[in-house]
Amino acid sequence: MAASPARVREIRGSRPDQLPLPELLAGGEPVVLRGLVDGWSLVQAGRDSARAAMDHLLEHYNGRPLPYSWGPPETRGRPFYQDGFTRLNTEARRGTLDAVLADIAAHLDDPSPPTHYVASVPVDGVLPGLRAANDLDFAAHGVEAPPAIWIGNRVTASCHYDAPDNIACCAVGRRRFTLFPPAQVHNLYPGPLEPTPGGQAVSVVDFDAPDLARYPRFAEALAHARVAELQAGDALFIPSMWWHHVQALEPFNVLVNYWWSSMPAWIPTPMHALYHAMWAIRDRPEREKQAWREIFEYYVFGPAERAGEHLPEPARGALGPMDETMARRMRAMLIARLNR
Amino acid sequence: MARHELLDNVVHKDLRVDTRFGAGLGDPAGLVPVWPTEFAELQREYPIFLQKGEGESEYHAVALLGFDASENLFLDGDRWNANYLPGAVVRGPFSIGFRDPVPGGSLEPEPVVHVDMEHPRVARDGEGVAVFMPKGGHSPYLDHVITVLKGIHDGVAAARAMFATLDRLGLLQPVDLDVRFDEARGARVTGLYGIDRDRLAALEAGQLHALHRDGLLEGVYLMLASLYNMRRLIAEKQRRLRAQDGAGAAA
Repeated sequence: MAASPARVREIRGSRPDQLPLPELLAGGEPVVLRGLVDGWSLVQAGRDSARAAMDHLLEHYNGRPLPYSWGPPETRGRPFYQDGFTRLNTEARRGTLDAVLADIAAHLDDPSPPTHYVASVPVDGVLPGLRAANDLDFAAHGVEAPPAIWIGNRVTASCHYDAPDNIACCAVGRRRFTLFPPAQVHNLYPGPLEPTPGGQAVSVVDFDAPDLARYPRFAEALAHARVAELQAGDALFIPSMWWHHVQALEPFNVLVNYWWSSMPAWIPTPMHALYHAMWAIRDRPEREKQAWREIFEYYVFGPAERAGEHLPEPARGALGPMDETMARRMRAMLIARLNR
Repeated sequence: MARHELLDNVVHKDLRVDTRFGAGLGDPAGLVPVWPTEFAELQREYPIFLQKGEGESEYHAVALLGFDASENLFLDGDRWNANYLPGAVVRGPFSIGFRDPVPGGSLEPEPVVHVDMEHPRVARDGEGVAVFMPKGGHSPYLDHVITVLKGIHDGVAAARAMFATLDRLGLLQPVDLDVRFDEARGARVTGLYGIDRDRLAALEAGQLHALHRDGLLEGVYLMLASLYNMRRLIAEKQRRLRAQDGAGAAA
């Protein structure tokens, strides 16, 4: 990584009860919100020590076993694949938070610890009450965005994208984010769609030692990269679909994030459409594919009204605005047609 | 020897299941496991009891099919004489398995469908009902089985909560069935538990209200009502004994 990448734009002075959501969404670019959650009790406990932060978490823990990834020291904090890319290099385990934290604590000074990674667990499901003094006020915007918590040692979440918008709050430790605009998918060499280390396809490039002979276009991706380093108390807005590579940098790190979507609940994930298109369209002859590209451009990627506006409203059907009733019809129609 | 596999529309694309009844298809006899989620249907035709295995702390529910371990009085040749079939019968070779939660998914292991490829109902001869449609979709039969498995899955949790509460309230009592079919013949079935009517009548208002509020009172009465099916089962047994006697006399 030669030239140092651009830094993510920063704003200061945001507060958990005055999230600048409209501005963030209108900007459509990543933004660091310095000190957004400085006042969280978990952030303050973490400033005393890793153990104080662990104790603070356990005070709120309801004892419910939670899933986590575990890897031997050779994992080097990178949940990824074994050679061959059909198996993960970590084990899916279930255990209590007490046990996970005790294991992490036992290796706080170990330069080469086993990997422990509790990823994306709903805060309300395991740490009821934590939100009382550690929360962002999405409700003020009429947005439902239940937080998820990420707990681990020096773990790297390999570069991936998520469909919802995201505010990630560094509560304990430090994290470095390397972000890429959605169009960089062409240069990031995404891996298998399944299995995946965290639910989303990840770049197979090892960011610590990129093999540019094997993945030459990654150099182009780096030219578009933006980095942000979060201290405890800082937060980062990651727009929907932006690729992000996330390195936790301390022996103990906790992140709390909020995903939300601007779409109503009856609009499903586009991943179904992507799978379906790979199945139904990808392997057709080039001429047919290009024709389908035009069809999709007309019906899907162009202005939402275009395909229906020259028709009387009652005749529009799926060409009209998608509402809950139409969503039910689409689901039933697709299930019936696919079930053969 | 059971061989459970995760049901898969590629691995098991030609899988067919024999849904007929009769010898050699592994139909249950004696007692069949049942769950509170099906008590309402069962109680019209089957006597429902509880049972507790040796050294087990939890009760589970069973329906009585016959008066010894090899008898099924609902089964007549290839006919099952009842309007409702217990879920444990309908599910055939299928059962619920659990898969570790995927990262970022739910906190709990995810229920999945398993199939026992050594089950006698797994058809070997190309006969039977297809599990998957020709292009890999779910057949209506599989959709039905999945509905039944979901009922059982819910029923397992419901049973645990219900029977623990009934036990705590002292409403369960051992039941030994001592049945006479005629002057000479009868049967004993032991190790069953049922609702203690006297204790039920003696519940205090608060306990009774809690049972009702938690949705358990209905199940208690369904269990009690189910016992009237004993008469029907005994009558069927008597009919079979007479038929047997007649056949013996004719021979």
